[in-house]
Amino acid sequence: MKLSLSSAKKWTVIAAALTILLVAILASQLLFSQTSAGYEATSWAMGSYVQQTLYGGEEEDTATKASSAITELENLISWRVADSDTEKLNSAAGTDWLELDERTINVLEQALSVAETTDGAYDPTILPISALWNFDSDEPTLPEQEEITSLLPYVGYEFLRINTEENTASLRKHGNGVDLGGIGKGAACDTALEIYQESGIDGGIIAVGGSVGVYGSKPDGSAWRISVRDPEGKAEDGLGVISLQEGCVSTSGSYEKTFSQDGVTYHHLLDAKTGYPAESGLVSVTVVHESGAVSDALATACFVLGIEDSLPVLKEFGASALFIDEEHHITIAGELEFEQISTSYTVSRQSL
Amino acid sequence: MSSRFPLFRKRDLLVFVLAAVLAGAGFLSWMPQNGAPTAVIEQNGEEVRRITLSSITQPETLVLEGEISVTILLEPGQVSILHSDCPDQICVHTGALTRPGQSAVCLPARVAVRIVGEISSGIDGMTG
Amino acid sequence: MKSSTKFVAFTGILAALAVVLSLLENLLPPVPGMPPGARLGLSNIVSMYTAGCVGFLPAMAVALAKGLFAFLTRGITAGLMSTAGGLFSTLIVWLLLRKLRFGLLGASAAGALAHNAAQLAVACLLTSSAVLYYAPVLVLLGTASGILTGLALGVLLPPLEKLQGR
Repeated sequence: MKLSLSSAKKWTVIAAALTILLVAILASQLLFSQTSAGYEATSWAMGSYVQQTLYGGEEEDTATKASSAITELENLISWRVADSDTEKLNSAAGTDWLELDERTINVLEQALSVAETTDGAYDPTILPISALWNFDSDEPTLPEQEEITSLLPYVGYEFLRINTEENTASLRKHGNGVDLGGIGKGAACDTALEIYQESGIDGGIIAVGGSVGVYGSKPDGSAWRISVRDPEGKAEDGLGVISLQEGCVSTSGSYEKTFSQDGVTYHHLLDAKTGYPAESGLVSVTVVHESGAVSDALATACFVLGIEDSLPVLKEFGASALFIDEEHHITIAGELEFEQISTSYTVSRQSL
Repeated sequence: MSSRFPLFRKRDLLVFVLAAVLAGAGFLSWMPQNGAPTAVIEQNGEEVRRITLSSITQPETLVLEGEISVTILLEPGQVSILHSDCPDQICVHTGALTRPGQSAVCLPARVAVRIVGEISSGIDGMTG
Repeated sequence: MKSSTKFVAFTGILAALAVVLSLLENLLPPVPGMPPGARLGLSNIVSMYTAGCVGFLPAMAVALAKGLFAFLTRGITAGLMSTAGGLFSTLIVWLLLRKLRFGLLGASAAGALAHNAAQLAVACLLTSSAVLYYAPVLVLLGTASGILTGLALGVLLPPLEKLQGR
């Protein structure tokens, strides 16, 4: 059988058209499935794993911007970074007022506001004590009682003074020091959410360690679902899921950083009044608030305060919280949408 | 045109159909991987390995060398951090990861293992 | 063939031409976004002409020459991949063109696919099975470059056959 040139051309065109059609269909499906999955970016900052998922818009660009803004913030507020605002403030303790970056002042102000409301249950001036325990390092150490007793007088939020009009701050006594570790991850979430808003993407979620912030909406319009980790690590999917339309969630858990010595386990959530790890019968506290910084600081404060004393504080800030205690009981305070997954915990609700 | 070798014969279509089927099957094999639970292993923020959980047929260990070495165990349908030289061992205690959204992170070693995939019915993030 | 000297010389010329064409191709800047190993395959025109109009053994000789050249200029991995691809695709083209009476387009596309398949198989053995990820794209690109080679040959063959006939 022989084909004429024209019919050969016809067949070639048909074959080519079919191939192109196939490619077009497959390519469009690939593209479609990628947009619905969102853009994911990961990095390291604030001593934590940073995870972003963005939907709709300049996703990659926005994620990069948010990531570098968080690193900038870290270089301003981490006392461990040489020449950071916090390091300068600590070195100048007991001398003069210092002019600082507006972003640093902002975080300091939020820290101070939580410290004042909780009467120091969260205290940004914990550095003399927290540096002693050194939980952020590979080898935390149990300090001597005398060391703690001698340094405790230097801890106190009233030593920190801020002038928001002139963007200045000071520490009153030589030996005072600011450690923003308990608020930094939440503040990092705030920084990212601000950038999401500016860049006009449809929706995004950022997690810096245990602090999570959400902005806008997902492609399917459903609420953001944030799983609460099981402190004992048994429930694979976590204890349950908090649904959130906007705002931030932060958790302070005694299981995060620990070490054992002579049969006693010490955790990193220090009580500024005693200088020792807080003992309130709680294992972890998760706080929801529109501000990441406030939710982060409140989570620490509520852990130190215990459930009872936390309730008025939560009410004052318009926050809600989820407490997990040593008796495997979950207490939910305030308006919080929580869906239980693990059955090894009992749940009760508490109005504010 | 050459008399010995015509440019096109009807049987040539066999080749094109075969090519189309091969390409189509190949692309289809990509598809489910977008939604299927996939383990992403990162060190220092860089992706070291990405593997679809269902495609693991026999247990395999992956050693990430570094100041702090981490050993990751890949098993059919799940992945876990088997061993880490880090002091806190949080990553090891996290246990096995099987579902999208789960993650195990070793902060001191800067190693992260997470499961990605279709999570519309699952979770978007984790706190704690 | 009457004169075996002439035959060997002709094969040598074809091999040289194939090598020059692959050299030219190496000079082309890589296209961004294309997977490694995706090539235009200019020299395949020569390979295919040899398989179709000269003979099986000369065609295999041309493929070996190309492989040797890749081995010398781009290293052992590329050399092995090129040799495997060249030999297998020459075999397929010769079969389809001479034994199964396929058209130029079909034989050429099949040859390109065979080339990719053999290259991938070698890459799989030498590096990791991750390269299989590129397979679907390579199938499409291979078919496209095969069609181009076939079309080029469709234009070039009639004058070449006249030359050879002399």
